[in-house]
Amino acid sequence: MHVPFLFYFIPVPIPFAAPARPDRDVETFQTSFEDAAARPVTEIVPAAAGDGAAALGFALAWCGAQARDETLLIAATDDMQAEYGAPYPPGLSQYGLAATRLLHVRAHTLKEALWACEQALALPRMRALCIVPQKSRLTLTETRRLHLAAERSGARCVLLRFDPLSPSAAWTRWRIAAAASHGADAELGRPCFAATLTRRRSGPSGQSWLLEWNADEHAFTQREQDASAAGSTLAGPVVAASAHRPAEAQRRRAG
Amino acid sequence: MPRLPTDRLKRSGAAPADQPVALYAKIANAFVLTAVDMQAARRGLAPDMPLADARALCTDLFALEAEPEADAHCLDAIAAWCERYTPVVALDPPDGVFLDITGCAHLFGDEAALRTSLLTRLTQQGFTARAAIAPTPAAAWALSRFAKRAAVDREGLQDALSDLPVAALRLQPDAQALLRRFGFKRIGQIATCPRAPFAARAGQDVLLRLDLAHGRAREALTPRRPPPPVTAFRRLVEPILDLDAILLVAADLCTDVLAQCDLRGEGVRRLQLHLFGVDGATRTVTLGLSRAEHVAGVIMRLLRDRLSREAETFDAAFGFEALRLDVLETAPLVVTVTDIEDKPAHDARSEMQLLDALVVRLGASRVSRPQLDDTHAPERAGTWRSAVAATQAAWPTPEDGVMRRPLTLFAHAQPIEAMAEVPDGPPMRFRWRRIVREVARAEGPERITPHWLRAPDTRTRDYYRVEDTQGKRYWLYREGAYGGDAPPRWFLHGLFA
Repeated sequence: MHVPFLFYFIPVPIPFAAPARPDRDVETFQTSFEDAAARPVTEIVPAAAGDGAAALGFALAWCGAQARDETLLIAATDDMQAEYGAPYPPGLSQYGLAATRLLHVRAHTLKEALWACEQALALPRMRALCIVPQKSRLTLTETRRLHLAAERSGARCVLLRFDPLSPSAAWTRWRIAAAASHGADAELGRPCFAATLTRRRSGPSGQSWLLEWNADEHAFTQREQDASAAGSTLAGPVVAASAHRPAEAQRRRAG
Repeated sequence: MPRLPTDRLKRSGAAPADQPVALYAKIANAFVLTAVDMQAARRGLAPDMPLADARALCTDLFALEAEPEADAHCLDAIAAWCERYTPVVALDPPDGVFLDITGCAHLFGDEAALRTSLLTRLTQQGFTARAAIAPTPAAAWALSRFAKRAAVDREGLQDALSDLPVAALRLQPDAQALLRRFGFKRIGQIATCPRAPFAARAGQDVLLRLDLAHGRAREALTPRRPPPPVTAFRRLVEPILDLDAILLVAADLCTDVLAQCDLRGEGVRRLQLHLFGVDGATRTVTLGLSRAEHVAGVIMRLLRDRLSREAETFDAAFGFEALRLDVLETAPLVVTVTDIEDKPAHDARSEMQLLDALVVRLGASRVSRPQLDDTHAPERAGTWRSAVAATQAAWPTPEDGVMRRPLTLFAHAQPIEAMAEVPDGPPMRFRWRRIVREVARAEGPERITPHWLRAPDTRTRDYYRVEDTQGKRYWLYREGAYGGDAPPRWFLHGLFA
């Protein structure tokens, strides 16, 4: 007697014994980043209400760290501007995004913003950053559509979610909080983020890192968690420096 | 349309249909009739008659003051309606319209059928109209006003004109009076005169008018709107209402205009689709493309998107009887060489198509590119310009990687309550959105003085970049200085990541 084989396709994350203490030596930020950046959809979520600017910065840095000559489309709705202000071009220029490769769409509704993203994701060399406002609801269907569109063309989509979290088709979800910077004396240092990989469809999750955005190298730098001591050791650039970083930085590194 | 002013009032219901109607104006301190309708004319009333005489002749006269602006508006509307016959329609104020039907008549059968259709439909709409078809505009003008003949060809033009009175030459009143004193009554009498002695006595203008009518001199019509370089027209047997049917016809038109553009080696930049409704109104849809396009599918996709959203606003209860697609702007096609090697290169063409799709759906003002300007005022240093119009320029990379400008900027700086340790120093703590934030790190000040010419009363700003104890970073400024006339105020202008 034959026992029929039954296949179940489970659209939820594969159950994984979440490690109580993530082994940071095994899973560095670099490997997680490389795994997540290669996937069609990534979700970035601010840890608290006031961390929206940090999350937006992380999302732009995320796009800037992997951009070669891709066009970035930022789709936002009007109510986001009242809460956090409008993206400021001189500020954006510090994230390694070329002016000629930047498109900004101000949509009336989330539906329009998602439509614009889906249109953009049909092109292979495209990054779409969709800012989901607080009052809306992003459903699994909508994220699944973006996932399929991006997967088909090879484009990448980043969702910056301010809305209540719901099931989504994104491969990873990152929770971002602002972190104190490390400048000399009382000066402000590079932008710092406390990033937690809260969800991954396949693989360990739950790790957190303290990251610094290096605008010169267009790369994230990992910091030690216990950065209480001034001048704590740097782990060095962990993400391969992008090819288009300024010549100045290359020279500085060589000399 | 000899009775345009009274017809307009009767159509709108402002004047009774079963009563003689006349319009008057105050000319040289006297009320004088300017227009009369058919019933009033039968009772012996005519323009230029004093209003008092008219009232004496016709006791039940319904008299109204003339409104030349409203008449001109009405004439323009009629000219717009006439565009369903030909794209070249010229106004001839106060009561005429020229239609250049060269190459259009076959769409309606022949010239006579076109004229009949035009007159029937104008009459149905309540306008008394006369029309004539002639090889020259001046002859058409003369025949429509002074002759019973409907159409005249080039051979019959001389005969047709010779019987008309000299007034048919569109002369000035004094020139007309002079000819009458000479004893010239018919155009034929002038045409047979020796030209040079006649010109010496009656003036060059009369001969010019005569040449215009006979086609010996060219008369340029000034069309109501410039004729499009490329156009395609479809007249439908039955009115259509369905969006799919409209798109089907539009696709045909699109293929037509693209074939015409192809001959010129050009692509389409801007299109206008006119939908001529049975109710007399014309709906227009304009479509702009970010680059010259020669593929019908691409244009139709945008047009379908636009029409499907605008169709509700058309309110066309009786459907459309004709469609015309005008190409308003063309541009030379740039042929790019396609790479045989199949690599996912950056495709400027598909990106332009994306831009078009976004602009068509969301509007040009909502799709933007960054623009950096060389100015110190933060509000103007970096702006978003419409992606259609923006000039693309590379922006400078920061020299040292220091984030000097915030990631987001508030359109209006938000007032905060701040407490500074020293008068000219950075704040120690501040309250924004009802939460007190303790400042851990601060850099500044960066003094930015507003543009003295544009905002002379705005005070100097000292900008600080501060970080609070939670690691959040802000861009604050103090407006004004301590010890001035008014106490300084603190604002939050932007947020850093």
